[in-house]
Amino acid sequence: MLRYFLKRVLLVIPIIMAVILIVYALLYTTVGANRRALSSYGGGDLLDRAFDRLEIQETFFSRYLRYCCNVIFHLNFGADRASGRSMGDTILWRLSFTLRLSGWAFLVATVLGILLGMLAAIHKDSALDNALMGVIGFCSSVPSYTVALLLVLFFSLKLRILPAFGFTRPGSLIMPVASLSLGGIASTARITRASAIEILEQPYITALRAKGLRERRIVYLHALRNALLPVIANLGLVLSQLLCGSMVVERFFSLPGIGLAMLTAVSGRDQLTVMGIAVAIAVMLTLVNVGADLLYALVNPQIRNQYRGKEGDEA
Amino acid sequence: MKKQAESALRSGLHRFSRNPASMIALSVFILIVLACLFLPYCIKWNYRQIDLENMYGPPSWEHVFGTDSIGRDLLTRLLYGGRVTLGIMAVATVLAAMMGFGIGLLSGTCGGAVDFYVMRVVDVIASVPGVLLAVMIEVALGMGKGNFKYGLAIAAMPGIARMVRTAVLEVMQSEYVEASRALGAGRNQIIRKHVLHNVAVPFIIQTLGAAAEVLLSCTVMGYLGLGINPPTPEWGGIVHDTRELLRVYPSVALIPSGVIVVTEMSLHFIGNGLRDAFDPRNDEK
Repeated sequence: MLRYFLKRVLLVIPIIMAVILIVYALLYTTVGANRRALSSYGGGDLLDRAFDRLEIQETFFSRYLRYCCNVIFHLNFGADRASGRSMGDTILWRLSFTLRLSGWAFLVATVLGILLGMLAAIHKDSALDNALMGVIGFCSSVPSYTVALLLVLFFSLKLRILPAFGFTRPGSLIMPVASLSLGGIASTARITRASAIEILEQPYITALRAKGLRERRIVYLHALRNALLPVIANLGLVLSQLLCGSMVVERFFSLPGIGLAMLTAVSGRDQLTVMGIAVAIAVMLTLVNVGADLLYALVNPQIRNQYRGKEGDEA
Repeated sequence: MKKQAESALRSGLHRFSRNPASMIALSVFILIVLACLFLPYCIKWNYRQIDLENMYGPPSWEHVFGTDSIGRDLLTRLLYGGRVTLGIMAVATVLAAMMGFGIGLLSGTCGGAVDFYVMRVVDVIASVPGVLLAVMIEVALGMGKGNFKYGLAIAAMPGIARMVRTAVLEVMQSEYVEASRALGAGRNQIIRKHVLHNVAVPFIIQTLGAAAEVLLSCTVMGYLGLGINPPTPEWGGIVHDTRELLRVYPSVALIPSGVIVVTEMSLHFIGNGLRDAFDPRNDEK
């Protein structure tokens, strides 16, 4: 088990470097375009010196490696062009807000998704199942900006009980979390339903029924545990959806998260910030994926036994 | 073997056509596509024709869905926007499907080191969220020209590749493939005769799911103002443009969102219907 953990954790560094490489290579191409655009204003000599100072003459890979080292070991993303301060601090602060928002959405999506999925699976092919599948289909189809629009229309403009933007007043995170979590609810519910249906048809469930256990006990104690494996494998994907969605929701509700920072940087053509944020999000998702893998291995008896067997052989 | 494959296909399609939900979804989707393709020729308005005397016009016989903040006909803009949005969706989905199928097939049939390294690359790509990748490609290749579709395609690829690989591995390890290998069938023959037959349906279902996701991401890009440059309409952008109408004509302001939701749901239910119809467990009953 320990060997599996070590192997998986050590694999994180090359994966993170590869993720940074993708982002870096994509945005590296814009440097030449910037230089061309700037030199069309004249002042070539001055420009050359400025670019020399910024070490743009170096080769791609040496710059990439230094950027990697800075990010991985020092959390140093360079200086923020807008404020002149360290971008790492800005990103961390923004990220902490987004994590609060998407953390709540993640919790809501996972809990509600599992509940709805189990409910649909237990009552498979009944009217309730069909209705739930309709609701789930709707949840996954409706864009978060439409949900946000409807919520604001109803709760802020009509009932006047929830603030339409900002994050300081009580209850101000309710509508953002609600509009963000719908997609996650849908995908979690769909996966839970599919895997629970499969598990409930297994012979060991029939054996439990034959033994006379109560249905509720069978479902929530014995079936749920195994049905959750695919859900755990999908956690990283849900979080990635949430982080993408937070761009829309933060913009809509004027929340100072990383999505809004990204949009500001894009419209300001601030490639270094775009790069920093993209790298931060991708690295975080990689870590979450590894965490999900480890959790999966921890709760999945198949993988656990596989490695236990190996260690036993060696001993 | 061939005859059985055909009959499985036929019984699957038969089940699909007997399911009202999937048939409604299929006809709605076809209707939307046909409307976007042909209705613009039957309407006298142009999607960029500004009419400042008719700002925020209510629905009428002239303007069926009313007009937006600078008096452009909303229905016309939705139809042209559908061409743009659905076009981007089609291109991105086809690209993703081709890449995903190729990579999954390669990984599943070669196995070993090729499989390991290819799948690690897929893992890396999967850890960058779709909209983020689209935004970066937009920044790198230039804004407003629809370059983000390549980002959406690359982001949709890992899901398809993983699914194809799993399906291929499942077939390759099955007993009848082992039997035909023992009878002397080469790798190409096995791929052609067994693997492609068995991978086709799950591949189509997965691609439909990817299409729905790409469509949603595409409208998100439009809504964030990172999509196609105005005045070219695009569904997400139209939603953003018409949100001021909300206080005046809420029912009209929700039409663009409604179009997106209906298209998305039709794709979802087509996929669901196919999944149910081609579920191998159907045959056991």
